[in-house]
Amino acid sequence: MDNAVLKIDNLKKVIGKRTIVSDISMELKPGEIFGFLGPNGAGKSTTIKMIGGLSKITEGNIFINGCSVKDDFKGAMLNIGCIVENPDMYKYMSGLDNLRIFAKMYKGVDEARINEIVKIVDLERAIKDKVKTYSLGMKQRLGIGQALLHNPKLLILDEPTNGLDPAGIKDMRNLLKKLAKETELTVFISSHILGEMQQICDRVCIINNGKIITVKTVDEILNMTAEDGKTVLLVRTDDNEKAASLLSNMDIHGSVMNDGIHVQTTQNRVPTIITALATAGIAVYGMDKQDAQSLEDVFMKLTGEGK
Amino acid sequence: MGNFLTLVSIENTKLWKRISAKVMLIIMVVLIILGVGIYKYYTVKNNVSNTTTVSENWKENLKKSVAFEKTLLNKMENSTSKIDALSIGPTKKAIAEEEFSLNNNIKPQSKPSIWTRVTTFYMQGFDGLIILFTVIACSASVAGEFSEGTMKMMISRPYRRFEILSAKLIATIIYAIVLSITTFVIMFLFWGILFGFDGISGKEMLWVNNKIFYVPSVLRAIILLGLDFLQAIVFITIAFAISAISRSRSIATGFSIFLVTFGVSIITALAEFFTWGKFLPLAVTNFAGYISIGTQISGTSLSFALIISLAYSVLFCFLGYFIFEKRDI
Repeated sequence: MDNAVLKIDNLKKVIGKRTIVSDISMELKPGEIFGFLGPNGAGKSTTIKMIGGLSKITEGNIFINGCSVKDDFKGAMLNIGCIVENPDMYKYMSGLDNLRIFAKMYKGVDEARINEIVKIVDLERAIKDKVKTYSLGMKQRLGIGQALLHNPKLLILDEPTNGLDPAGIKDMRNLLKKLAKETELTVFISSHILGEMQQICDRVCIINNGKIITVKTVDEILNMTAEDGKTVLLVRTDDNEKAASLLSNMDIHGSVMNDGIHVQTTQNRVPTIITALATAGIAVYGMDKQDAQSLEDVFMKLTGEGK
Repeated sequence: MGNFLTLVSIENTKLWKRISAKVMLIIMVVLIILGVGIYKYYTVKNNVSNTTTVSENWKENLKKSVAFEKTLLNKMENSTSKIDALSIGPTKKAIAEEEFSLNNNIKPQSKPSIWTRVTTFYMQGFDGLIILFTVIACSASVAGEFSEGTMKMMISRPYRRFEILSAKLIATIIYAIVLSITTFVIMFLFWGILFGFDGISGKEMLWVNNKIFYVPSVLRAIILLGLDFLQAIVFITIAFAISAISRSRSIATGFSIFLVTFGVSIITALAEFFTWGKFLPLAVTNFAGYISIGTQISGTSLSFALIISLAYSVLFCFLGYFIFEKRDI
């Protein structure tokens, strides 16, 4: 892929004797929203910091729009807008002054562009207030605003939905999708809120212990686990304990929870379960198929966090 | 270069947008007005004369004084006391000035010029305050950005790290210049209004390199202020390096304030009593003192002080830059 907006090539970071990440390689297309998933300490932030030039690269290379972060730092940084960790802005200044400061660092970002950005991130009312009076959601939006000022090709967001309320998350999702579609902006998001990533991303990369586990489209990942045919049934009866022990005698395992028994099984054994329960005289109030194919389940399986 | 100047202007904006930067300037103005005002009140209340009467036979008096100081100097030079050694330089300066007056038939002034009086007043602590305020601003600009997390916002930009750091250093120095000029101008005007602008175009003796130069008072004031400002630069580079290395605003501010207040007194004391002391950083940074008072620390001179301070400043700057450049943010 020649037109990769972000190309990471065998990236490795070693601090002291500890290898934080290794063998990280990926390529991002224009207009793609790419999710970077992994448990805490997996190496997400370290990777993002190397992309943004905050952390030195031990081995490998990163290219942003063809410019190497190592050898052509200025060229690489011209095409990138990012928020790393928290959207830390100058608290003693107004949002507008913050934007003006960052705008000055690039050629051709004028007052009209700043006003446009303020509208895009919907901060018109508060933009003249000091940033210390902002809510976390407003800071996130201001952070995205400063990252977009110079029309970068790549937007890097580190846990952008942290501290946002559901409406705020929805707004951000719509904003990012719109930007990716209309301006061919490539968005690289790290997050641990998986439901969120499932809704927004085209492709995701799952990383654990500093290594990539898989890079696939969201659809591919969801279908991948459906293949083994496993499903989870939520069975509600008048005597959950009894029902569970009955099922486990049949080598069907389930766990009793407040809302019922979560039974792990395959589609073709469902009739057997119904018959068995009915024969034992257990009243069955309901049997619902749980959506087992959420990104979260896949993530838990792949990273081994669920066990 | 155009790009770099933009960066300097950005740092300058950020520095002045901090309320503390404005507050420190206001404190300075208030202290000047209070200081000069109280001094005026004191002289009026206690009827202190601002002039000394110079008698007609001033030449005779000067000759006597020179003779006395020479015996004194002789005694001091043969003494092993470190305390005595401190007065050798100032005594030499006094003898040279008096002999210059005699040789060139310059009658001693009944009152020093406004330039000299304001410069002396300025160096009675106001210069220290300027250093203190600048060091605080420097720590906020460099270490403060680490503490507030905004440094990472600065790094992922189309600028090299050393450019960002240099812009901060220059913005801090500009702040020091603004503070110094404002302080001197306001002090000069206020002093002139209360005590008169006498001697504004007069000439005075300047003691440099064991020689007397007879120069306009204003030039002498500018040279003294310039040397005094170089002292501020030395402190700025040290505070700057501490900020870049420690990355913690509280540590950087605390340590820098300690250096400006107690640290420098301790180091100066070491330099006064031990011969190796003069090689310590900050030991011989009172550059203006070599001219206004005379050499106090034996074995040093103005050029020695400037060279050793320059070497330390370069070393500290290098350390700050090197670590900032290498480190993960």
